[in-house]
Amino acid sequence: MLTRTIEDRELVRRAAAGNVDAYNVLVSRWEKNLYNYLLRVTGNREDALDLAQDAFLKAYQGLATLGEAEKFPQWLFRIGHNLAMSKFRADGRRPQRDSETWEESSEGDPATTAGAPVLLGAGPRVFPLELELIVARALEELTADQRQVVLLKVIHGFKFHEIAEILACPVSTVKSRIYAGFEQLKRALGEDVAAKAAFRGQ
Amino acid sequence: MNCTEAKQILMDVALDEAGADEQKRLEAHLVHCADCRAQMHDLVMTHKLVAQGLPLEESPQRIAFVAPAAATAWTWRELFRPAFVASVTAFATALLVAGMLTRPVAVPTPVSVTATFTRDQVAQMITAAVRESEERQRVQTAELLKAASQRLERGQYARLTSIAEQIHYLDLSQKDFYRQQEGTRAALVAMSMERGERQ
Repeated sequence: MLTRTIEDRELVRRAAAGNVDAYNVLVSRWEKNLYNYLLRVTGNREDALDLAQDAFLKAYQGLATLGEAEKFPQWLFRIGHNLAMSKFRADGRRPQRDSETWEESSEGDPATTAGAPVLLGAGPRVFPLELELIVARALEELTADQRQVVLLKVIHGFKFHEIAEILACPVSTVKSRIYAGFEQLKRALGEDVAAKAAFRGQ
Repeated sequence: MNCTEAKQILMDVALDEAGADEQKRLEAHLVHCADCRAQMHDLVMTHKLVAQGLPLEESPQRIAFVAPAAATAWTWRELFRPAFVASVTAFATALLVAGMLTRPVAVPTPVSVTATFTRDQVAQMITAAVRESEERQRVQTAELLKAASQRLERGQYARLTSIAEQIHYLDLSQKDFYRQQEGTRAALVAMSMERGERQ
């Protein structure tokens, strides 16, 4: 694989000119991130992989329409996010309601009632599985909207204005969702003795 | 900066969204405000726990796009593609047929006790018979090799698939086990709390 010396921007430019190899480098850089986001949003590995593939294909077909090449990541995530939401609408899916504490902020909107997060950790495990369970459970108690912004921010490192582009909503909405989500996570994790222990164990 | 102002930007600083100027002013405030410092600590801790508690999982399959056929790289796997095998076989057959048509014709003379052959004729017949049998053997060997390699590939694929499946189920059952344990633990805690014997 090429090193990061070649910027995404340059790869986007080459790929848009029809260089498939350049696009494959871009794919290899972003597939893990996009797959994991879709996995948390859909709660299903197969769906996440299918959606990621579709998103990359759609992105490739539309590369010429991407005005600013440096916006490729958020553009790609936006495509992936929209595909996931369309899938939920098509499937008429509801969240897996295995928790009494689940709260729905906007009843009936498939975009906000997408699947609950899954418990993961197939990679090399640096942290105890217990911590993963605690965090997954805390995340489960957020609304789907809050969960999406928290994931995009904390796991994928997007800036507020980039998240606004991905979710096609105002920056103020992103902020209020993330503030509320974060406050709730703070409360949930703060109450969990095991979470504290895990943190102290660092 | 007072506490009201500080609380407004705590979250932004914790989430790395504040400007350098705001960050500096907040840091100055935190030095002498234990309450805000504690809140900041909680936010940073939450951020760390969430980031570390949700490790990225490897995608089960690499995604890659291929260039138009003309530009596709040739690999040894092509050898096992049915289309390739078929074309090679067709070519070999064509060669064989051409060879048979152009070689000196060995007329299948009706064998008769009275027939007499010259030394040269016998030698020719023997050569032709040997050549034919060699050719047959070569074709048979090629077919055997082909079949063997296909079997081998199928076998390997099946083995790998079953190993992958086993790993997948092992992983799932492990997670289920942990989830059950968590559930049991929660139930026990609830029960003991009910009895007023909280540990």
